[in-house]
Amino acid sequence: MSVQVIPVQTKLVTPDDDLLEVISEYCGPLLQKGDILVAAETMVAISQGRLIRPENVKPGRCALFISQFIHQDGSLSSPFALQAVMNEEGTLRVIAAFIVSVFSRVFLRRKGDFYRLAGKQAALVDDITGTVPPFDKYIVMGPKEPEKVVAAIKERFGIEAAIIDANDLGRSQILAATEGVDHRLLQRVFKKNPAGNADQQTPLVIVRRRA
Amino acid sequence: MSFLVAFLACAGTLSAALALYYWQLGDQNIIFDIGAVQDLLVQHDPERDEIICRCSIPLTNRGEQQGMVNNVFCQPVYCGKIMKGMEIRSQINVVKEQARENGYWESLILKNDAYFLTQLEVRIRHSSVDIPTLIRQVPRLNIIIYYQVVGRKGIQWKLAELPLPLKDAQLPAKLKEEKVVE
Repeated sequence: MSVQVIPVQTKLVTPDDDLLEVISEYCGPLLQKGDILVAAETMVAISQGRLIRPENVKPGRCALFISQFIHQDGSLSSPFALQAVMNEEGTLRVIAAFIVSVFSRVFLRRKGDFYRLAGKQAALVDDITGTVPPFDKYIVMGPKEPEKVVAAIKERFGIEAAIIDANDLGRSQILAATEGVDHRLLQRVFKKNPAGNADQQTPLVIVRRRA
Repeated sequence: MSFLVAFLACAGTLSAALALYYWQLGDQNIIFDIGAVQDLLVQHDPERDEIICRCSIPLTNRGEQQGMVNNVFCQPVYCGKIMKGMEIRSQINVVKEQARENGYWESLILKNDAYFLTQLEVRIRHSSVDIPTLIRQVPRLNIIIYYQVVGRKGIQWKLAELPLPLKDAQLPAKLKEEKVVE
């Protein structure tokens, strides 16, 4: 069985937009029964207003210190993004995740424990420069209650829905999906990141099965 | 007692080691390298009755860590009463493929020991004075570039000041030829 992947170009979604209305306007005429509508997590987060100016974040000593141990290609290498995560997930949780990850890295030679333990936002946050303008000036947090978002999409449009964090590096993470979504199929489709991460402005993708 | 001493010694050593690590990591040192300005062009456009200044300025990171240039603004330095009728439009962009034509500064990451070339363009007009008179009164206009750098140790606002020698304004090559013919 093959699948058809339809990236849908939209206007620039902002915190003033209602996500369901955006989907209705740009995907409404295209949707068919049996489709899976996949929304990019950054777009969902932006529509929820999950944007923070770095100027409005005051990094504490813990954020300044811990961020120095994170590889500079990661969003959390910025003390501002790390502090924003601490504000949501809790400072103690992030400190504990840091201590455990140091030990697991040194003694077990295991990578990634910090992101696994510090909470969802640690893996989802995008630092400044990480999103298309004008949101390149903001720290963009991960979406809030993604399960409720996909449920609302399914209820309104009668199709399966998922929110995905995909990038051009071939890594994708399904944040939330309705019951009928085939996770393995989505992982396979989004390995190539059909929505793109830059100016393509295609934050919605329709995945259609073809017999 | 000996356990307490050993514990304090370990904690002290660890703290000192971490402090040393933190200190030796350093920070970004991103600057608009005014000393390395290239291709400075000051041109008088008689058709539009304006002066156009263009130059390339390297945006360099001489620090030990990467930084992010988040905002950049240009502003002329006050140059006397003649400024009242002056219209000055300045724009600075990173020189790259698919550069945005507008004046929006897209946040960028600058790794240590790396640089980007930026292009500054300044257009100057005056509502009541002609360009030769303006040049006589303002032979040099200073432009200040304010820029915000977000580093791994905090946010810094920096500034660079670039003098534009308006007195060196040249006519476009085509017009020069026409004058010679006359």
